[in-house]
This record gives sequence, structure tokens and C-alpha cells, in this order.
Amino acid sequence: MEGNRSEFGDSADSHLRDIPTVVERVSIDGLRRTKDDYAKQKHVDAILSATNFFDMVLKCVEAKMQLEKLGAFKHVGIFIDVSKGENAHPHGVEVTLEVEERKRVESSLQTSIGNNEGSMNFALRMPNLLGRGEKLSAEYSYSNRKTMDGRLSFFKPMFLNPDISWTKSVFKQSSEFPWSGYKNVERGASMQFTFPLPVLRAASHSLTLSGVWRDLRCLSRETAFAVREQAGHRMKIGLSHQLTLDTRDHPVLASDGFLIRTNVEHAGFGGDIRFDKASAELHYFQPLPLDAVLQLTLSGGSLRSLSPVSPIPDRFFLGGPMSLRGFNMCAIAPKSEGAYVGANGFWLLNAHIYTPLPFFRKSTGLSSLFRTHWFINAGSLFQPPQGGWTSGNWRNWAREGLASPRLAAGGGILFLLGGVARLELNYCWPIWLEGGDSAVHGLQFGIGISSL
Amino acid sequence: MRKVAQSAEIIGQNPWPASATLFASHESTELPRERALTLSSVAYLRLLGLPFDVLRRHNVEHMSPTGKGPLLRAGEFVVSEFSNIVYFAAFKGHYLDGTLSDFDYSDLCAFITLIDSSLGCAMDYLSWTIDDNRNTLTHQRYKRHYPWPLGKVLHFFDSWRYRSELQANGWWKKSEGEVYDRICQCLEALTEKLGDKRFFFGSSPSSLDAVIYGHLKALITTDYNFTKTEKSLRLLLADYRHMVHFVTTFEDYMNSVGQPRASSPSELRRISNVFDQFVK
Repeated sequence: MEGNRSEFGDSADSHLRDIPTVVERVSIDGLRRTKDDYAKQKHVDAILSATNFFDMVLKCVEAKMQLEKLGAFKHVGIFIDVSKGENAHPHGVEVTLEVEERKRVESSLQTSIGNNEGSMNFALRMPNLLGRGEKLSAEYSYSNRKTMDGRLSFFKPMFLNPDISWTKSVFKQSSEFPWSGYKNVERGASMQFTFPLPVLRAASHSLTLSGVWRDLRCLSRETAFAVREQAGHRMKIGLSHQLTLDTRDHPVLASDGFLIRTNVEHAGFGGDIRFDKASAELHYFQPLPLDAVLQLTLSGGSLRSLSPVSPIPDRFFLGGPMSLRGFNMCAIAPKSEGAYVGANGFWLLNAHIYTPLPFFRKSTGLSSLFRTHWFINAGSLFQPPQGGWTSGNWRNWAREGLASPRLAAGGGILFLLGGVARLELNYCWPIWLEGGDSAVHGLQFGIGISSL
Repeated sequence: MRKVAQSAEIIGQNPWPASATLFASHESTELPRERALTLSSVAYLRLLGLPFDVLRRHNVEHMSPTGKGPLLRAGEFVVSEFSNIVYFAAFKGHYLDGTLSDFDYSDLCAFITLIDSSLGCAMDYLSWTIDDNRNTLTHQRYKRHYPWPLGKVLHFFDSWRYRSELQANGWWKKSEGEVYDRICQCLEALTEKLGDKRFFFGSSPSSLDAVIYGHLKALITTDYNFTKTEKSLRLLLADYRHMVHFVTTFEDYMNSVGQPRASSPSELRRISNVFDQFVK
């Protein structure tokens, strides 16, 4: 919104501010099942308080953005006309916001390909179910491994504000982890409450309470014993808090702004999995001359298990085209009998430089979706020292964390796919390795939505 | 098949490790059939004089590659179930059945099948078919080791699984009297086979002795019982004094075994026959 304001300020003639305007009527056309109190909120009423033309147009655009955020409308149009009739004010205008509501039921059928697995996903969504932005969605997927996964969730904005919402869902999710030699089926239910806080308004907080039944099985007879020991059924009941603060100008390949995400979880309100876990990531984007962008990313996390051995699915893993480039997927030691078992702590530092393709700097076609990409990244998995994060203990943390860093550098081509994902093909040079790591000295391909 | 043959050669390359571990279910909540198989495996390894530890875990059946316990971890090998443990020890050069004649060996296989299909299934019947037992004693096994409500859910699913298995082998519909009679028949056959001998095949023990010891000891020490008939399992076993005496003398023998007993190549001839069967 700040960007829009400055655009208007720069390009609009100053005389638009000098045109006095009185907004006589604001109406919303096209409401069917959406309730009046949900659609007509203070941003719509604010249009009535405009005193000049520039101000009115600005408030109309803001109202349109707020209406689009409600999740009830496919399309919002602004229609401004001069007031008509005998009692019309000489400077009067009538504003009509024409909305087109989303269909009652939306469905989609997709096929997707993952780690050596193909699956068919069927999703059914019922947006704006009861008129105040509620959404019921059901997703079902069937893979070639004959596993059926699904999620049923209900999203409801609170206090007529979509920034504050409840989501309740039940799910079943199966996944395989060939680098560790196990497969996991998780069935559970969760309740998530999302809200902003008065401090740092742009940040969004979520509190999630979830109960999960986890069924872990070995993938083959050769699975390492450290993983085999953890096979079976366990239950995790946990409360987690996520904070997201996003000022980037593009969700996949930004050129300015930053993104902070933190996640703090406590598992142990019942169930037999008990731990405290915290992780954070910071992405910073800096535009450089010649349309280049510098990205710096720092992330880290720590897991403190309240039982002697931490569960493998909750540990941290490093390696892969979207985390520590130059190493195979989750292929950073510790390793036990051929299986990568993860660790209770990690840190990761990435630096990237993106530039448009040479000779294509000013183009806007397909070649504008490509970038050249240079990176250097470092990281390590470590066991956090005893005693937690106290001031006296930071030396131990530094010693453990910096004991065996890995480093890799490289460059390649990046392709932005559909505005939601990025494909990367890089040539990597691993520089620092430890015994047990599986590095990639050569081409590495990756697809990612959120990458470090 | 070829993979088993190759692993037999790999198994045979190194001797029995100094630190082998046998994983079994927790003693207080073990089902009778699990206890029978655990005791059989422990007895067999003790008869061979091989060193091992016993560790109790609640998820042994999930750790096991075949879905059943007990689980032996020796070096880099993971072996589950009694028969596989016998072969594993044999591939390492320790075998008790090598001195038996071919006739005795087929007798041994027949008796092990008899015990499995009568005493083993009777134990499953006691644990899963009799409602009172299933809802109290067997349920304890889930309540103790899994948090609520996971224990209830797993108990429910396992009850259905065992119900289908017992229906498939015809035991679900049997009455308690019929099961009681089957146990009697099996014990009669065993008493007759043992006769006056110290062990079932003469003066030295075999794997059959370990199996019989395991199943009888499990029946003697179990809390499970018939509920609808006035026939009591404990009284039944007390009737077969000869078998109970066998259990006691066997335990004494087991505790007296010292060094590991290595088998001679002629004794391992039978295992190489088994090995050849696998290769074919």
C-alpha cells in the first residue's frame, strides 16, 4: 500500500488534490450470500469522509484491497459517477463497488510428482460458506504407492476481520524419508488461531494446538538400527507459535524487503513425545545496481528433547537444493549405519546474487523469468550443549556450532515458475565437508517454494 | 532366495559377537505367546552358551522386520523370530540339532508345528477371544505403554486384526472347552514323546526342548485363564506333573551351561542342506 501511495503521489497531478469532492453515496453491488456486516466495514465507510478527488480515489483503492482480502469475492470493481438528482451536491459523486462473489463450490484436480512418487490430488473448497468469509476445504490425494492422504479444514475469520481467524483441521499425511530409511504416517487434528498484535502490526502470529498420532515404520530390512529403534506408534500433543513478518515485494524472488519467520513449539501436553523446539529464519533482500539483487539468509534452530532420545522426524536435517546447496538432500552427517539421522541443532548462512540474463536486462517476455544465480552457503548440524541458552553457556554453543562447518559455492540459472515456485539448476563446488556427508560436485537441480 | 544365501555366507564370516542383544516385550504386560517365543529364544541361546543381553522395549513388533518378536541384534545383523535366530546361530557355527538323524529331525519339525498350532493358537485364543481377558489383561498392554487415547485406538485395531487371524485359522469359533481339550491333547503327546528321557531326543537338548520349555513356562506363569468354564488352566498344568518337572530340570540344565558350544562341520551339514534349499 505504501508503494501504491508513492506511485500516486509521484505521477498524479497535484491539481487532483485541489478538486473538492463530496461522496454522497457508497454502495456495494452484487452481494448475495455475503452478509452485509462482513462486506460493509470501516474501509467502505471511510470513502464517505474523503474531501478531495485524490483522497477519494485512494480510499476507494484501499477499500477494494480490503474487500479482496475478505476471501469472498472473485473480482472487485470501482465505479465512480457524478451524483444525479435534484438534491445532488455540485461536487457530489456516487461510488459503487461492484463485486462478483466466488462460486459456492470450487474444485480442482491435479497430478503432482514428488520424490519418486506420483499422486493425484483432488481438492474441494467452499469459500464464504456462511456469508462471513468461512471456508471449508477438503483435500484428498492418492499416490502410486497406494497411500491415501487427506485434510479437512474449516477456516473462520473472527470479529469480521480476516486477519484474525480460527482454522480447525483433521488430516492424514504419509511421507517417506529415504535418506533416513523410514516412512511416517501422521494422523491428527489441529486448531490454529491467527492474529496480529498492536506491536509490529505487519507481523502475523499463529498459535497452533495439535494432536498427532505418528506411525513410523522402516522402509527396508537394511534400515539402520538407530531408526529401527524408533519404529512404532507415538502420540504428540503440542502447542506452537509462529511469527511471520514479510515486507518483500514478491513472494518467490523479491528484490527488496525482508522476511522473518520464527517457530517455537512445546510438545508434551499428554502424548509420549516431549520436547521444546525453536527455529528462526531471516531473509534480507537488497537491490544492487544493474538490476541485480543480493539475498542474505540466516537460519537456525534447536531442539531440546525431554526424553533421552529425540524423535527423528522432529530433528533438523541439512542439505539439498533448497537448503544447503552443494550437498544431497538431507545428506549432512550425523550418520548411523548408512542412514542420516539428523541433529538437535543447526545453523545455515546463505548469500545469493541474482542478475537478469546477460543481454536480456530490459526484456519483459519469457526471458524476464530467468535469472543467473551465484551463491555461497555454509551450515552445520550440531548437538546443542547441556544447560540451555543461558548467558554463561554461549561459549559452549559457539564451540559446538562452529566445530565442523560445511561450505559450498556455485552458480547457475533460476526460473520463476508461475509466480509461486522457482526452478534452479546450479553447478556446485563443495569446499568444506565432513566424513559422512554426501556432496554434489556438479550439477544440482531443485524446485522450491520457500527456499533459503 | 539368493539374497538369503549370500547373507548366510556373510553371517558366517565372523564369529558370534561379544555384545549381542535380544529385544523382547516388557515382562509385566507380555502376551503369553510372546512370552513363549521369548523364553524359547533365550533358552536356545543359553543352551548354546552364547553371550547376550535381554532388553525390554514396548515396540518390539514394530522394530522387527517380520512384525513379530523377539528381535536379536548381533553386530550389524538384525534377526527376528525364533526359527530365524536358530538359523542365524547355526550360520555362525553353533547348532543343537546337528546330531539328530533325519527321522528325528522331521519329528522335531512336526512337534514344533504341533506346539505352534495348538499351544500357540490357544494362547492367542486366551488373549484375544475371551472378552474378559481381552478387555482387562490384554488392554493393560496398551494402556501401560501408550498414552491415552492412543492405547485405546491401538487396542481396538489389534483386536480386529487378531480376530481376523483367528477366524481364518478356525480358532475364533471354538468354545473354551474345545480349546481346553486341544491343550490337553498336546500335553498328552508331549508327555508320551518325552517318556523317561531327560530331553526329547535323548541325553542332549535340541531346539524342540527350548520351544517346549518356552511354551510350558509361559502357560504355567500366565495370569490368563478360562472364564466361562470351571476348567482352570493352572489345575490342568498341575495334572501334567511330568511336564512341569521337565520345565524345572530344564531350567537347572540351562543355568549350568558354561562356554559357548561350537558345532562340528558334520553337525552343520543339516544347515547347509537348508542353505541349499534356500539357494534353490
